[in-house]
Amino acid sequence: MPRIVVIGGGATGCGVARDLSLRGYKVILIEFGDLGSGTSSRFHGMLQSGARYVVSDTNYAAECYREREIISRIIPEAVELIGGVFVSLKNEEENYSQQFVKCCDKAKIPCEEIASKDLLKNEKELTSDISRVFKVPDAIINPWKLVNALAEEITKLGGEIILNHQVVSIKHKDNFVNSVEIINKNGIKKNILCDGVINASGAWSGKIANLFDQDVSLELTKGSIMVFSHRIVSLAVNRCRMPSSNDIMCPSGTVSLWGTTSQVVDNPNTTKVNPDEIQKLLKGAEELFPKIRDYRSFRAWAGVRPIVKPKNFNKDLPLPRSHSVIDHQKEGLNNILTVCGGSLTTHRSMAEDVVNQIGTKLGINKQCETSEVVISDSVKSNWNSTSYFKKIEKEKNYNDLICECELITKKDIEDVMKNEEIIDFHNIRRRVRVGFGPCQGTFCNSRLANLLVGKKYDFDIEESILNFWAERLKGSISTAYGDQAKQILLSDYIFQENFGLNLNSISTNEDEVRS
Amino acid sequence: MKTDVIIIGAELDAFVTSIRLNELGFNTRIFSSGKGSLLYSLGNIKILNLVETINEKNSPFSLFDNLKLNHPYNIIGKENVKKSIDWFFSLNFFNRIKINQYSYNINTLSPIGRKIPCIGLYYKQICFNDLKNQEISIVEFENHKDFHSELIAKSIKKIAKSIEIIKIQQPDDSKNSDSSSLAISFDNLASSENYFNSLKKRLNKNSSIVIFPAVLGLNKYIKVIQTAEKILNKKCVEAPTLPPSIPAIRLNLDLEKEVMEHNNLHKGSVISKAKIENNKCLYLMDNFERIFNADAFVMSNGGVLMGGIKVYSNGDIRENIFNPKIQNNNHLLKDKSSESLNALQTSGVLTNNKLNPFLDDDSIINNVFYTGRNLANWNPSTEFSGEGISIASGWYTANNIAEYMESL
Ligand SMILES: Cc1cc2nc3c(=O)[nH]c(=O)nc-3n(C[C@H](O)[C@H](O)[C@H](O)COP(=O)(O)OP(=O)(O)OC[C@H]3O[C@@H](n4cnc5c(N)ncnc54)[C@H](O)[C@@H]3O)c2cc1C
Repeated sequence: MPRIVVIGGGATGCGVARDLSLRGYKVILIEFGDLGSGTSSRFHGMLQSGARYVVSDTNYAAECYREREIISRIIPEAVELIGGVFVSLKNEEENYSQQFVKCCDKAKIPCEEIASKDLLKNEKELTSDISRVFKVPDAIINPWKLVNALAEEITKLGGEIILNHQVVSIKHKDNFVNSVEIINKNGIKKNILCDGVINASGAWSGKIANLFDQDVSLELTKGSIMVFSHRIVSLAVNRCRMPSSNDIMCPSGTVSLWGTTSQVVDNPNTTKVNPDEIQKLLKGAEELFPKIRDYRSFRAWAGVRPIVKPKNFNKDLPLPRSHSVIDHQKEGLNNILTVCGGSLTTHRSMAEDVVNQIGTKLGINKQCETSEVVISDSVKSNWNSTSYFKKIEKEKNYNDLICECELITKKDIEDVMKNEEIIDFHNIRRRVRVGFGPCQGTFCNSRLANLLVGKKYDFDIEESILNFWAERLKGSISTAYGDQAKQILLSDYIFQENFGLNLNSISTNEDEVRS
Repeated sequence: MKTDVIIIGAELDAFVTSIRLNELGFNTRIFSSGKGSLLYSLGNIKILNLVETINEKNSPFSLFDNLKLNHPYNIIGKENVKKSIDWFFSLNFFNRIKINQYSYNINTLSPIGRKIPCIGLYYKQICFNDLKNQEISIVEFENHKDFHSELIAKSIKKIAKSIEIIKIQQPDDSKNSDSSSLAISFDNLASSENYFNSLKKRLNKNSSIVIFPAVLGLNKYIKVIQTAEKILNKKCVEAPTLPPSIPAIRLNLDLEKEVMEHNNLHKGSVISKAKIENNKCLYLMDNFERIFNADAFVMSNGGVLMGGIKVYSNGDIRENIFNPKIQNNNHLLKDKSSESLNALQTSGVLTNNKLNPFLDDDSIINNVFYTGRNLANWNPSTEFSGEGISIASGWYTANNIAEYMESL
């Protein structure tokens, strides 16, 4: 079977690599950083029912719903079927909600109107200015669980995953790509031979296409999200209106996410939340949650959506959300395809589409199996604040808590450290959530360092502590008001005044810190 | 008895103000709504060491020229700062707790092994230079997760002759994970001789210095450390743990004890309002509208860090009791996070040169004074000046209050 290089270890790349592996291809996946460190973790956390796009793009909405059904069946451990509501406010036009109901019916998305007082009984923080409420099967998804579970299956099927390597050139001969060159953080280069390439590098797709002098017509839009302490809502609460900014509050782990904004950017590495975005987000959130400014916001983050801009695109219409597969044959290369657009929800169908197409090109006729094969047989995940406590009680390891906010034990950390690909604190953080909680790593950071120093790691430990904090600070300083302002000064007290670290000694370009 | 001065906050600056006012013949009443930020310090005394000029053996006072004119040290005046520090170290109770004063910055170690410049060290607090060319044993207690023995070992590797890390059971086989419980178990230990005797067998015979985590007792630490030195026949020092650190708690308790002997301390009271007339505060009110009278009022409630000053989501910064003029550096609007952080740290209450607050119309309140982290235009994190500002502003405020009282 042909060897295919997949570029990008986000949801799309992992989905593509899994699909290829199931069909028997030999797969090598290359990821610049860690799995899911791109847009796939800088997102809103929703496994969309599709209802959000049901009026603006009914076909895409129907695709979302189909995918939501499939994903929650094949990888239940990453999904929480919390449900969602679309609410219209008293001063809003009736028109959209009428269309909404009709289109849900057309897209076959279950939608049921309920009385607003029934919603308000459970969702105490919501404004009472709600006129209509529609219940839909929205869900939320843990992106790291998703990509790591996909990766595990890829490796089991014989595929190879290379992290912390950037694709820097794509070599071809007679209209066929035959190898890609990759480089690691220490500047060491490697050449990977292949029979075909799938570019699944999301917002970076254009940069990859530039490597072989091609262009993909992308509109990069940055979206920022604010993180609030606690589950302010128990289900996803959406505005019932044409998709725009400031539309959704949904729970995620121990927090709630509000977003997003939308701003066209040039650089896919842009992850900085601007001050004016915070003010816009707060203003928008206030319409649904009148007391939102009194709640503690831990931090904010931004991700960049790669939206494909169709040729001859009419500026007045919203950009389509459905994905595209770009065949670079027209430009002279026969065995390289780019897949982008879409969403995390539709990553599987995107993969199916692009793998079908590369099969046609390479003359391989194998059926897609990704919607049938169940990835994990683990139990359904239901978020529960006491499950960690139960685990700790059972294992009696009270003294081994490294991160008290997220209840992460020494053993949890030692387990992930077995993975050879772990090269910094962020890799650990993503896998076990250490440092995610209210103190944003203030009290677990040095414990983690003490655990790692002298082990297989040869990185500068002080620099790691400082970088970890600098990254946490970058997200949390943008919401430095109320209790979070106190928290940040406490962290500063501990890192600079007490530990003696110096924030100004960090040289990296803040806007491009990616973790 | 009539209260002369009300102090809000129970932190180093509040305690210093109170002790100094007692000396000058006034009594005080202290209100505190919780713990002070001192608990997050190392229990040492830092005056100043600008990170750019970090260099051991600097006199902190020689660095004052690098400070901006509106820096609290400049408002208070270099001579006053010096006097306040000398006064602080000459306090009677320091003879009892054996704190050491230096005339220049020496380095102690932080919980992760970085050098921290300071001029005052707690009893047997670790000092970097003493470790040069020594054979060192680091003792770690099992289950105690807040002592970073590996990080400390790594940091002194270059200067020490040899290092060993010994893990031992806690006294009475307890399994405390936090420093406070561990320190208390040393206070309660019936025979520390037996305990250190069993440790002795495990230590490298040639080691000259033993580094313990700073948990060897909360109240009886001097006795415990002296016993350790006697039995082990080696110099014993304590290295700080992840905060809240025990030497800081000891300092806090010692100061509190001193203050409580002569003054009233109200824990848990939240003062929320003030009555002001003709540039004078007449009384304060708490959350239950109870009225508290005094001749002068000191705001030592810890700035943004401890909630004395509040930051609002639209970027407003306010101190809600007196509503003084605030230095607002628009931290929410900065591009870089380090700039934002510095802007937040250096925001605070604007005062005249007596530390009386300015109101919006540029008038002042004559009998109200602000101290410590409430003050604007300094940054404890980059200056290593936290304790110094507290001591200087507290002492200076007490003197200013005495002067004000005389003028009445
Ligand atoms: C603010 C926001 C909110 C969103 N909310 C939702 C939501 O609620 N639900 C939903 O379904 N979708 C949501 N989306 C969309 C969704 O996040 C993205 O569509 C999806 O994550 C894209 O995945 P991807 O794998 O294509 O891209 P990415 O996750 O960005 O993966 C691309 C990977 O390629 C790697 N890469 C780049 N260049 C190179 C190179 N030269 N060599 C090697 N590797 C390289 C990158 O490191 C990156 O990891 C949201 C997007 C944004 C921005």
